Amino acid sequence: MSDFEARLSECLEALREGRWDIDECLRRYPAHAAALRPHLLAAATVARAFDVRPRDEFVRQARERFRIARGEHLREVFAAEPEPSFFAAARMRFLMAAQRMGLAETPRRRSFVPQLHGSFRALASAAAALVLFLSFSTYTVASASNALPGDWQYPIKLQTERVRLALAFSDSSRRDVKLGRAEERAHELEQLTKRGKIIGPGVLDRLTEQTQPLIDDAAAGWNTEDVARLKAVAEREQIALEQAKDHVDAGAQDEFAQAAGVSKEAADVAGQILVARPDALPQVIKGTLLLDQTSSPVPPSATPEASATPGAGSPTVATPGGGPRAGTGTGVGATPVRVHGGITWNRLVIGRFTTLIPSDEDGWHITSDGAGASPSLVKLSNVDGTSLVTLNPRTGDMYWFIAHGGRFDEVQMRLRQPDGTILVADRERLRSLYGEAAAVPLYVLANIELQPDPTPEPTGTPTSTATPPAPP
Amino acid sequence: MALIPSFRNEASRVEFPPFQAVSPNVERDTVDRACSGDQQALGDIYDWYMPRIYRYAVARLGNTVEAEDLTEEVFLKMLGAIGDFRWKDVPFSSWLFRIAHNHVATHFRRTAQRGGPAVGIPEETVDWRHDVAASVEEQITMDEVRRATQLLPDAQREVIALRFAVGLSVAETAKVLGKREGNVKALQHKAIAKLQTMLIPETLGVETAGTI
Repeated sequence: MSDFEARLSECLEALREGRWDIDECLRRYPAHAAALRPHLLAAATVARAFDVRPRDEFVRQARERFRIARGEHLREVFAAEPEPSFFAAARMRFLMAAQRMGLAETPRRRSFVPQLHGSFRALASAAAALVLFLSFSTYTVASASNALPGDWQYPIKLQTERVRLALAFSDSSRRDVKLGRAEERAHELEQLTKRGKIIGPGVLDRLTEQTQPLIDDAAAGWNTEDVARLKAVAEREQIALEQAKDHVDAGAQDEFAQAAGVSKEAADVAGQILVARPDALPQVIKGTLLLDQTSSPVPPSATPEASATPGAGSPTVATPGGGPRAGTGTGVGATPVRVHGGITWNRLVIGRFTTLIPSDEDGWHITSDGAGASPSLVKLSNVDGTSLVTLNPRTGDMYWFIAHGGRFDEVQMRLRQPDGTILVADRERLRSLYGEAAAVPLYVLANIELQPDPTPEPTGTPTSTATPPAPP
Repeated sequence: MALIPSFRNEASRVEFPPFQAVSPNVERDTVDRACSGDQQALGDIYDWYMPRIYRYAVARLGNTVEAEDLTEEVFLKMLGAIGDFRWKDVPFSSWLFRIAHNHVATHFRRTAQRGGPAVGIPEETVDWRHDVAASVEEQITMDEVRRATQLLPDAQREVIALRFAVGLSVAETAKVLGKREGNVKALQHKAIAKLQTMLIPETLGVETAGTI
């Protein structure tokens, strides 16, 4: 090492420790001052260039995550209690197996674990639990992902979610896990409904507990994409709850109301946030953009089906005795009137309004708001909760809500203008945007017929169908 | 253009940023307690070293987003390994930055790329406690310096990060890198000389020739 290198290093060390400043360095080594000076200046400049501090928010959140990670974290995760039903069933299986194997007597407790001391014992226990959990049968964990409440694997599924959340260290990954968890609750609700299961309070409580925190979190500054995802999740929950309401246990009505309230609040809050986000607007399909101005006004007869078969009313849109002919009553024809596109179509008749709707067997469910015989709004949703059609039987207005790109697009399909002209959606545009998903709403639209009103309608704004249906 | 011309006549105004220092005795006691699983001690170590690990990550990776992730990962690795720490081998700081150093190496291997240019360091993360009048010009200068640092050979860049971003001593840096102190000093000298040519090209041959 040259003499200059040694002097430079000595000066840099003194500068780092704050013992000297640059002038002092130059004074001490005048023979090297000329060469030392630019070196020291450059070194000081580099040190200042990297004298950066992390964001305050990152410091706070990272510190909290570190606190949790150093022990309490894992203990919290594994402190979770198993579902009582799972615990009871597992205990029974264990005791039966023990009896079969002649192991019913209490085994002598022997420890092969080296004695650890201090807090590391707790950490080691948690770590061992983590290792045990992570090495748990991959098949079991994987198959548990499809488990529903009541399945023996369901507690494993919940535990997996807890671990996933616990091991998500960045804000975005935690948001992702939490949103995914809420989505999963909605999916479970859909599946339970589809299978005709009775929905107990636990299912609804979980949905409430996992959706409620997202409302506050989203308001605290989530990015637009995540807020949109929350809106989609909340709307899916609303639809799932709507479909599930007939399956809810009689003793779980309070929980049902609470879940519905939280889902609605989440959708509302997310919607309000998105309205204020300019970057969200280009992704929202504005219904008016899809309306074909040249097609208005639409003649009243859109070639409806020639005959409608009277039959039993649906559970939600009852037929009060009369056949489902336009102007004569309300109901869904029980006998299919047409098969189109692989779907069986039934006729829906509500007063002057008629159209064709896909059958329950094809995965579409019909519900209504308002009085049974003259509902103000009819809702048609698919089992996946990804598509919802609303029909206003009084005005013939039709909206379609379709899950698209992580959010629900609102599409105006048919809209009566104040001057009586009717605007309908551009078929080709819809097909190009949504593909096959647009087939059902377009067919419903094509078959809408609204007989002329013999009596003038009361003035006022037509019933709004511009927002997704409120939960029950 | 000279990127640091204002320093020519104001050498005394240019100072090394103060590095957070903990008394060796306090650090030793704290680390010993942390090794036994003491939560408070682990928290103290985190508070002392987190800003320095972050600066190291910024210096090595060149952007704050990856630096944040790496900072957290380093401390999680520390949690898993601190039970094995022994004073007889290396100072604690060297041990901890060796974890960070290895993690950066893994990161580069994994992404099959070297750290990009030093972009994405928002202005508000720069500590403006030094009284610099032209803060905008200063910011541009600092960006240029960070970019220039990224252009150094990897070994020199590592030394610069540990010595001037983190504030480790030559001895500590040598322990982190597994090199001799003489090697560290040589690398440091080469890196600074190279940075001079990149940052103040026209002064080269003037000031180094001894005509200040």
